[in-house]
Amino acid sequence: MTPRRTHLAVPWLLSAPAAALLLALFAGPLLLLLRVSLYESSDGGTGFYRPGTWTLRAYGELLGEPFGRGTIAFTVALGAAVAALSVLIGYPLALFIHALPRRAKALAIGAVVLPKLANVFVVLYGVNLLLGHSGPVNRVLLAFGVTSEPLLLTHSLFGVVVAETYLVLPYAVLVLVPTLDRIDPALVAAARGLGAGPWTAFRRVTLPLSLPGVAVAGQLCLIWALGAFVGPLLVGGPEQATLAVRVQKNGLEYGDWPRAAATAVLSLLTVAVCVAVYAWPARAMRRAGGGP
Amino acid sequence: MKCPDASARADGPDRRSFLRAAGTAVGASILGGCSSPPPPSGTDFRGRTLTIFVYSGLDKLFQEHFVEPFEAGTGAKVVLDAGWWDSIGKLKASPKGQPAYDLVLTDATQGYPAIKSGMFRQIDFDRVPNHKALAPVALDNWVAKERYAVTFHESAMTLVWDRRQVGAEPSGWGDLLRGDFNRKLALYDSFYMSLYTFACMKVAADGKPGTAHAAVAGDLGGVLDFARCERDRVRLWWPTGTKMAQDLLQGAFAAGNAHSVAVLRTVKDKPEVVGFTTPDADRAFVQLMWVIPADTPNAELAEVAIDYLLSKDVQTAVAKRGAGTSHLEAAREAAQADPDWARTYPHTDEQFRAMRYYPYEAYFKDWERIKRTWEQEVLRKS
Repeated sequence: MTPRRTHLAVPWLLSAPAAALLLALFAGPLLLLLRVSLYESSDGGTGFYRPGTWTLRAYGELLGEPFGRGTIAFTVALGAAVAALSVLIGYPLALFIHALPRRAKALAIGAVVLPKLANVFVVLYGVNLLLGHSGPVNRVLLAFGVTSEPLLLTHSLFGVVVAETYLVLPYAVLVLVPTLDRIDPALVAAARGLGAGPWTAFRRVTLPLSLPGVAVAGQLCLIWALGAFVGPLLVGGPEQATLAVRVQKNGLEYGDWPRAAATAVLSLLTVAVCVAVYAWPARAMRRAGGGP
Repeated sequence: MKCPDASARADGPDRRSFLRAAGTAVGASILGGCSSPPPPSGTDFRGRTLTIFVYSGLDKLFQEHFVEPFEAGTGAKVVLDAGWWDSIGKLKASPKGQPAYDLVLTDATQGYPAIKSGMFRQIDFDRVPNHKALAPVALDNWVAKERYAVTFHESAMTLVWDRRQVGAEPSGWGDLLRGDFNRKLALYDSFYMSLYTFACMKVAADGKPGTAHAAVAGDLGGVLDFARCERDRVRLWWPTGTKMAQDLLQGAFAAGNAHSVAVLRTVKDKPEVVGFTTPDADRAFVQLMWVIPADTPNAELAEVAIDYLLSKDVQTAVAKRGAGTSHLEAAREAAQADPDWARTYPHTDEQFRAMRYYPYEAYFKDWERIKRTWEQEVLRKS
């Protein structure tokens, strides 16, 4: 092999293990998932599917029923809301952390990451207690006369949004802090030196330059939030069931594998479509920040 | 480095001879009767591993009361895998001849269809002599008669309420239709229990308590319509027994249905908060079953394990945890020891004769219709 050919082959060889892994652990199972979604469901309980059959019935039912379409719409709406909230809450938090001295910054990032190190069930058990009927949030609301009796904050949309935002928020912060750190501090100092106030300097310098990072944080949060599972399952009620919850319900509780697989395929397509749609505002944000 | 204590614990001659003697004594007791036997000592399963799927949160109990003596008696290693409704899916996805489990504890909603689809093998009941210690009604179903499963009851559908919120304490399922419970109920989000709860409410409202099974079997449309109409009474649908107990103690609902196992544990901690009854009319129980995967290489060992798990010692431990037991002798003793247990579970011959499971067969007959209505029109309005 000539040196030139060797040079060309190196990138392929380097990526081969990852590509093989991707094919074996993602593409293969995905094809199997697709095949299972095209089987006919078995009758009379958890009978999985009828081998050797081919049908689009599971997709027809999911997309044809208001129930199925409602679940897709709810999953998208919840994902968008949680992603937006995570970035909106994460941005000021990232600004605060960015301005901290080095050691305090490390501690603050550690505090943000801490919930991700704990078991998600433990974290959500805490959220359940916090939002519970006699939990601190309801006590404060009662004490301030906001409500005359405790509100049902769990088993509700509110609880799901809080839980999911709590789970997704660290990703936004972890992307935004380095983005802000990369902005040259001399630029803000120059703006201030030329007479801009703190708000104007932020609005005209820091914010535009951080927009590419905001775009990435939003995308990451959106992908995570569209797959919401434990929040809706443990803090929500049946009205808050997402596509991921339906996959679990159909796959394990009802043993209806074609419907579970079709729901999973639609879930993947939903994420793909949402990410594609998100690419437009993301591109605009990157351009505003001086990117391509 | 070898830990001397651990080594002594595993290999100490005193313990070994003790276990051998205990095994022999128990083997003799099996020959003489069928109560509280550790595994037969004559059978050597050394080098084998028995992987057991444990449904219903019983893994800790089995770890304490089953694993150590069983391993000592048979020489086999036991691996417990705790879960709920995931066993059948994992078995289905296992490679042929290498099932994920050698023995499975599951419930009727999962077990019956899987047995029908050929996933489980017939059990040699002669190798499970302790099945004779169970109430005959527990085994009065086709999966046990055809020897595909050893079936028994576990939890009862229990009417539970928050004493702090309730004036006149309810005594039957019809009371859930009272005006003061409107939008204050909590029901399980699975239909196998809560559709039956609606059936009990309906027959009580119709003045025919005690006919809920017949209503589900003969007037399913009427029961589903009733559930659709009354679903707005429900404030929350609980997904797990733990969450139900948490919400009950926090006052999130006034009354509802619950698994007796969760209730009996909760009431011990907070008797001033938790009120409960298991009304005689339309009393129904969860059916659990031991089943052996068709292609396990450890079927004999699994049968020995089932026999041990049905022994009086293990069943007494199950009852102490708050679950029902179909083991007649263990049930009688548990009832004597705990009045709350006694008023929840059958323990006399008469009570056992009257014992009924949830109407599983009626559910399987119209599974799709029930599932669709339950998911789309009862749990949420689509």
